[in-house]
Amino acid sequence: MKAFVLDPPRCTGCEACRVACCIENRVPMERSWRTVHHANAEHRPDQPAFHLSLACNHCERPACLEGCPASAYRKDPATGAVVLDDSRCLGCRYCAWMCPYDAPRFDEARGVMAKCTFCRERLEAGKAPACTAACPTGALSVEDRRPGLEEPTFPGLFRERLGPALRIAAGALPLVPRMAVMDAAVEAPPTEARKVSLRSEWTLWLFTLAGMAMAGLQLGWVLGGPQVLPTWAFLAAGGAAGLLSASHLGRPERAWRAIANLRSSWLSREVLAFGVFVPSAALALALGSRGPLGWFSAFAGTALLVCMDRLYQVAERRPAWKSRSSDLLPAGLQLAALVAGAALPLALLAGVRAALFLAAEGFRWRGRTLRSTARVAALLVPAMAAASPWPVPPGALLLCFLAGEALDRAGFYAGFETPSPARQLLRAGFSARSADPA
Amino acid sequence: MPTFTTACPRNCYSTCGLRVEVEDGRVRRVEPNPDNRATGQGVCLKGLSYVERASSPHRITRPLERRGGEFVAVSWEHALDRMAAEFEGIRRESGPQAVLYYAGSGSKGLLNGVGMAFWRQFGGCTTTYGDLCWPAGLEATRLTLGDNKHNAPWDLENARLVVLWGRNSAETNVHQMDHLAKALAKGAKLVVVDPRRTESAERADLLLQPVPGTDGALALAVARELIVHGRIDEAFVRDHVLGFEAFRNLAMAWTLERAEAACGVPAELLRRFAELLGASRPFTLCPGFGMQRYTNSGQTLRALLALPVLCGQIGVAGGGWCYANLQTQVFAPVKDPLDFYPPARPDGVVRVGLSTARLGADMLALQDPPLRAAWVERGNPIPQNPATPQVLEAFRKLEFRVVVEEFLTDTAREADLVLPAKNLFEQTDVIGAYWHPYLQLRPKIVEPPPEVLPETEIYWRLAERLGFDRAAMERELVPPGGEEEWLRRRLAPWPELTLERLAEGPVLAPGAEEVAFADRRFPTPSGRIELWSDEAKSRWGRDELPRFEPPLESPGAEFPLRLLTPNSKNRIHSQFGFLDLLKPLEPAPLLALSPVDAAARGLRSGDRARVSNGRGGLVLGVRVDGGVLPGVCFVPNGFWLSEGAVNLLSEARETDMGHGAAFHDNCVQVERAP
Repeated sequence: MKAFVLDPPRCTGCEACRVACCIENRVPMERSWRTVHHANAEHRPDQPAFHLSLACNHCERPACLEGCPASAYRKDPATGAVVLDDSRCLGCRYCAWMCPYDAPRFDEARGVMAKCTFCRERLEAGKAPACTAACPTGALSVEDRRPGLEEPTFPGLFRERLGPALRIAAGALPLVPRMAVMDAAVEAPPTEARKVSLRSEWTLWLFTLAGMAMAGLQLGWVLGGPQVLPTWAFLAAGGAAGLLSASHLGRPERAWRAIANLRSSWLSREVLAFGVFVPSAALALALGSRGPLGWFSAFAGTALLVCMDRLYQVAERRPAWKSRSSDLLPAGLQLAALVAGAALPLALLAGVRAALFLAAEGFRWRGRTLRSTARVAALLVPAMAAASPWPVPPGALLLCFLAGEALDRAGFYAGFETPSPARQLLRAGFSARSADPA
Repeated sequence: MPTFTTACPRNCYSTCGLRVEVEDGRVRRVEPNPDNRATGQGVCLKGLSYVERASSPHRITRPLERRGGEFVAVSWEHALDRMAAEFEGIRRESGPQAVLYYAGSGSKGLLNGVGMAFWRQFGGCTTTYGDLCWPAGLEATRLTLGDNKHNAPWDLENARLVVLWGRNSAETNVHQMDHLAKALAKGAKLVVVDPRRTESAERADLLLQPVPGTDGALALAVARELIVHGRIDEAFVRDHVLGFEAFRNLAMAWTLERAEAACGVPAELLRRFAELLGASRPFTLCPGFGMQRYTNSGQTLRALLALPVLCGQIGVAGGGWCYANLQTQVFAPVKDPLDFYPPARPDGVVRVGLSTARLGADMLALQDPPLRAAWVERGNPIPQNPATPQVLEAFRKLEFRVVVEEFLTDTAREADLVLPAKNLFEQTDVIGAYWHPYLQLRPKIVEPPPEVLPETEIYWRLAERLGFDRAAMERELVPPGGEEEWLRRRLAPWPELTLERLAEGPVLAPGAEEVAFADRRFPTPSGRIELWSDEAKSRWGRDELPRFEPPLESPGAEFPLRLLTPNSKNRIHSQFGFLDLLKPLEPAPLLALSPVDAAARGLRSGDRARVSNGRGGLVLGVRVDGGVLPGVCFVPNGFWLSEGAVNLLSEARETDMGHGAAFHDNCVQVERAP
């Protein structure tokens, strides 16, 4: 079993490793499996400029494998390589969210992921991976893997116990010698460190909102509230949400494979919960059965919300207890309380979630006081209206609540970040660039 | 998959030993050859990209003839007939010297010599003197040490101090970085002298950023510090150096304060540099080529070279002056730089009548006879020689132009006939180097495309058409398939150099010295290291001492910034940059500016700016770089005219010695582009 060794002070950022990888694997540079992250390329005088050449680190506990709903990844016992079987891949890109090294790359043309194979065939033939064989400065090499889950520490690397086959040879970066101009303010070029944005993931925004609304409505109904959506509309909404979420896959026709990894993937569990919830809830509604079937469907809906929240939390490395106002489970419960007319839980949830929101975003959300006010109002108004003596049409309260959720959820996607070398470099105070500016 | 041992013939320090895998007649993989001790660690990204370059769809694979505004593929029969008729006619009407034979440095190999042999048999031609690359430094070294050679590349690992002076090895000689890293791992120190904070400076203990063109003054001031503080090797100076007294008097005038005023480097840093030089034994000084592309640069390099000389660092392991290592030039009767110079007595056959640095202007000015045709091979002079507009005008004025090329370069686009050139995998040849001491075989390992002929075969067929003397042809040219026989004849004087031995791997050149000048024999007129050189005066009209004079062009109100046009890691001059594998790394040339100069112009990274002077202008993207000395800007050279070729801005001007090109004697203004 082998491991990469990276010696950043020796690396000149020449990108021979990346070129060699592309040649070996017949991959175009635009989708290269190895990326050289250039830190401080603009040469701020108080910082070293350095490079991190990263591909897949073939972790002992691969986050990609854990998250992949289709079980497309496996760990090769002979070489330790994390191997992607792209004939199983759905192209959901969740592995890219999960991997803190940005190793899995999406191949638009084929609709599936692609990644470093550790040059398994070369390793088996006793040769070094192409990237390391090419490195002209000895900055990137391979060695026999040391046992255990030792985590390398270096700016740009996210620390968690994945057990990457990567050792950083250098303890520290060299100090920067004094330069002609030490006090110049050098503007760092903008770094795009985020893999997710609302624009790219608007289908997921709608899907999660729909899931939350349907689960909340169902629970509220089971708890004695009115049936808000006619059964046909409920089914149609569920079908549309399912189709919408499948549409973001690179290979929608393989969507059925999404429950292949219930053992470790919250995404698989989400898909299963969704698949159980929608028909069971529709059936319960059609039969008017608030009994065991109704409770079963409400339970499935709640499980769906748990899975949805967990899959995002796991990807952004957020502990479950660090709740956000945009989380779906509390939103669904609040909706259920609203529908069921349970004033106390409603008020409690609204209050807690408003507090969470204000604690995280303050009174000027993304620079706007109005947005913050609208968000908090959408949480509190339905709760207060439900407790108030004046009659307010329930439909208006529902819409007000949902509008607030849509707003908050949109903010969630706009700010959603998963660990990546670029983000870690930024957090360490370095600008990061992985391609030369055109 | 069959694997072959070969070597990269580009104009580059490294001249890497390669192992190449071939699959279905195509190059599939390029890997380093560990038998080459200098470059065994790895292959640079350009070397790797031969996999694409060798079978690129953009390669020229048939003769192309210009008809109207476009190129049409024609048969070799037609191309040869046309060339024979044109050259025959010009020779008859104007004499053979109306034909320019222009050979660049795009590809190394002994067989390149066949070109000049052909033109001599043609009756003569006109050709160039000087060289674009490095002659001022070669001449400075020759005048001082008598010869251009240095320690083996791996000997750098023995140095206790390495000085990279105007040399960015990380981009231009990446294999040196491995040897440097090994020296640093053993505790060596690194000093970098460069107006830019380059990639090579990242591990430096000391970075000095002098105003470009003032390095000579810096060196004299540091020499003074060494002398004043008794840190020179007096015994070495006494036994081996000519002109020390005079040099000392020159240097004594350069106090640190005066140097600070001239170079912009704080005196405190100059003192620290002198202390490091004084305290570190051995030390190696590695000057770069860019620094000797000024009108004062021969003198600059003489001043720099005085430092290791005064410290007794010539001829010691881990020490020395690592400029050029011509120990593999065993085949040439006259070594560089002397073979760049016009002959003292012209032979009347070949008119060595054009300065490479002034190619366009000299071509236009030439009379008796004026030039009517040109043959260009291994070069792309239109964007790469100084004063691109003049070169372009001169080529366009000719009646008939032949360019031998792999790709449709800016020069090939101007041709009447473009002849497809072989690549490095398609004909056997032997190549030397100028950094390491290995001779290497570059065997034929794949068949060229069916219509691609090696240059030697083009010459042979053309010679047949032109009715050259058969015996002379057999003696000096290469019949089809006759390369190996021809090479064997060239190698014959050295029994240790056989094609069989070379086929096994890199072979040290006969007599190669791991530590150059270890015998302390200096082939100068005095037999000593000459800090005082009469030849500097007699041949070049310069001071016998390396007296500092500022470069000819200095920043003024109109053009306040110095423009440097260095090489980048992504190309060798104008080669490689267009490949799909490399283009994404540097899709366009960017103008790098210091934050101070950018702010003064309201420019930010990503903006577009016009860089111009009295000679021309270019609009380029801006990159604000905190590592650039204020007053300096730089744009990498090697981009094509369509992308932004920097020689639209350069002046056709020679260096102070060696007939080099003073590319960096170039001041510009930068303004926001409308």
